[in-house]
Amino acid sequence: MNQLENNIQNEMTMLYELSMATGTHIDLKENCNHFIRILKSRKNLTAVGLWIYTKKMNPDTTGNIKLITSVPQVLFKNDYIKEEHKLIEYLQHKPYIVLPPIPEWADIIGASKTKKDPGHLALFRLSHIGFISMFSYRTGSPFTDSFMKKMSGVIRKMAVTIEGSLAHGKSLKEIEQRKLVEQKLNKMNENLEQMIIQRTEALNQAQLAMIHQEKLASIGQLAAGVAHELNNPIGFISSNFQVLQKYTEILNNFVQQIQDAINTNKDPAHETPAIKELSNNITAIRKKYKISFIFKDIESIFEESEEGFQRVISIVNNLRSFSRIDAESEMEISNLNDGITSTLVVANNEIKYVSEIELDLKDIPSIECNAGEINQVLLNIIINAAQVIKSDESEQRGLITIKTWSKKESVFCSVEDTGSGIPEKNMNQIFNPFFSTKAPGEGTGLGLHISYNIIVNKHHGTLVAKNTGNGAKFTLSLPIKQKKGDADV
Amino acid sequence: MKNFETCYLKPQTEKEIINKLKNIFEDNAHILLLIGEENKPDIQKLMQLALDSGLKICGGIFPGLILGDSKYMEGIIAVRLPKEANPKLIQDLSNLDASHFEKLMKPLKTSCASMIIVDAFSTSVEPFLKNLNDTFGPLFDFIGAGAGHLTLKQEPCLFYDNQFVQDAALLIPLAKHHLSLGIKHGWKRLSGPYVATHTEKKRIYELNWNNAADFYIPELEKLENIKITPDNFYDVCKSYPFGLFKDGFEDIVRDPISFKSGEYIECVSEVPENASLYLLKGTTSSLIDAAMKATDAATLGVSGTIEGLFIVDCISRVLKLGNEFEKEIHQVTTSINNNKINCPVFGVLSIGEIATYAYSQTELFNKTIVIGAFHDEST
Repeated sequence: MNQLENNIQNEMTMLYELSMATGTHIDLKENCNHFIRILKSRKNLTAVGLWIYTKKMNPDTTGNIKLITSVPQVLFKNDYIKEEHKLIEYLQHKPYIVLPPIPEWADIIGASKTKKDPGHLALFRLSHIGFISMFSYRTGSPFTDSFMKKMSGVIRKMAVTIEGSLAHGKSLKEIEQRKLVEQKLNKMNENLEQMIIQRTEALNQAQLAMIHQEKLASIGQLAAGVAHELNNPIGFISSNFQVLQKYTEILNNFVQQIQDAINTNKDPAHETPAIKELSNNITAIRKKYKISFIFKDIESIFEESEEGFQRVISIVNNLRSFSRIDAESEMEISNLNDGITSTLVVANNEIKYVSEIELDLKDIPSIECNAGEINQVLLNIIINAAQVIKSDESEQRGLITIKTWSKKESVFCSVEDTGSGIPEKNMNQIFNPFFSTKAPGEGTGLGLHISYNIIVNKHHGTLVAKNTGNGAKFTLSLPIKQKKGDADV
Repeated sequence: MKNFETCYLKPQTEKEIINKLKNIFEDNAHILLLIGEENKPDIQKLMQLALDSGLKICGGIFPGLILGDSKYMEGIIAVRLPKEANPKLIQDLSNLDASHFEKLMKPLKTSCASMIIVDAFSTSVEPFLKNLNDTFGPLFDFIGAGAGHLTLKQEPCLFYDNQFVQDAALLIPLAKHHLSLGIKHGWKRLSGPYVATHTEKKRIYELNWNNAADFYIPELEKLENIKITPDNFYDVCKSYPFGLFKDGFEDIVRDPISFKSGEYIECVSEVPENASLYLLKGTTSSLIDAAMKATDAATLGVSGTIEGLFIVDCISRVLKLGNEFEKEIHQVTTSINNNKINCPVFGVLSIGEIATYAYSQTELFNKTIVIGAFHDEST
């Protein structure tokens, strides 16, 4: 075989191998990389790069040509070149160009980095998709016209496979984007569900808190209603009672005068039989009905009833005071000691069977507050104390000690009981909403939470709880004057 | 001491080796130890003694050694490496990914020459070379050899920094030296082309769409007029390797070493699918002539002083040439003398040869002689 035949055979086998190296992978980078590796190796080139117009990969990015893959990477200066590059303009109307790699083209192949100049540079146009750049340091040019012409067919085939890879990449991108949107949507749905659950829970909590507060407020309204309804009958009963007392006194005088008259006319000289009989009858009736005793007893009945009336009047007054029915505005000047007194009247029924009350109420200044709400707090704490003592099931009666005092710009009130105290593990949670150690249905777990809100958040005071060793002690403080603008809270 | 100064040590105790090295190599430079696999010393012990003595040694185990115009199958050639030598042992080649490789090589990214020794039986030599090519391109010139044992079994064969390993590569960059390379084999086309229509790495399953073994073995039987069996396969095929076309240069040799009837032929190195292969045949004179040409290619045209000549000659050429192999290295030294070069000449009989091919890429060769002439920057 002569040299010419040998060359033809070599070229044919190389073209066959290169032709078989096109479209070996559907993935763009793999497809291009496999092809340029075989081209570089078989043709014994220094470097090969494959470039594609960015608009072919993403229609939104125009003006550049991107280096998709290269071997070796180290010789390529840039990943991108401009579409207006002079070499690209040359290449527009030719399938290939062969030229020396002068520094002007260094952005396509970093010739300046290499050790031997000038070498040989060739570009193959990849249809309208991009181009392949080839660089060689070999002494004789490997890019003969004969080779370049024969190779053009393989390059055209490669361009078709790249179009396939690009279409595949586009489909993958679309699928990926669709997946992302779906994932986003699913995430949003999940978030929405979570939000609905959270909001519903918050709404339920708010509703329960509102119901509880309404309950507390209705105690005040009930007290106000009862006080109002009792006021009128107590008025006329009291008025009638005074008239009745007066009439009874008159009747007593009248009966006494009759008796005196009988006693005066008992002189036998003047006593007629009729008078004697009448006198005897009256004496008999008087004895029979114990009239003297009745008139004496009426006095003590009136005295006892008077005391009863005073108590009823006091209760009604305290109920009015507890409910603040007469308050002209939300914030008013009120004395905490009065609030304690009236609250104890309202709570009396809860306390009287289980505990004694010991009061140590110092002379304290009146404070600016929503007295109705402060009374609700006191009622809560005092009833809690009574319930804790009751739950101990001890035969001994408990003791609730209520103290008030003032210091600097605040007044203080402590309610101390002789119950079982607060377990230490619960100490940090007692003011949390819905925290309760009572049996289900017996407590909402909102009483202390609402009390804390009223004292701390609305009145800028403090409310703390601690164990004393004999039970629990709640201490609240309230500023004498609310800061300006706080009255609207 | 001069760069690449060499000495040959006959097999002896590890302590004696270290003592001699201490006496010969007085400065603190790295010492490259090329060790013949026959009667080799205990490497772990040798490394420990070197460490205790403050000697910095690195190297590999090879089927044979070359010093001047002599061939040795045992003993050690010790080479004093230039001061700037900065050996790097890259382990676990089979699990080395491109990004990790890039990180390992980052400090070396300046143009220079480098020696490289790989475990010839690692399945990842070619991917490793691919990484080298992708990272350095033609900016580095490599000359290297496949280390290992003629048993063809993978065993630890590289050592450095108190580690004796397999599946690894030892890189010795010489930042202040340039490398002029001669790569030749002398095998000529006998027949072909045959398209390797189905290959997987080192195995050829199909040639011209036929079962590779069924296609190749009758060819051998026809040429040698004997019946080929697995036992005599290598004895026959060592004279008929494959040639892989490379535009403008000698075909790259792929050395078949075994076959499985009805299935595949296994080569020492990878064969790309759809590549065209030729059946090659070499004669004593063509092979020896190639050695001379490789020497000339490496040494002629170098403007300055050559400090050292590293010869990487395939062990299969020894097996092919037999007693006439001495002629091949004699031819190399004759050419060196003719070219008026006076420097240490050392080398190995390798299992696969590595070199950077014509400013193109670093390749793994078979049945080839690679000669590297190290000259310093000033030349």
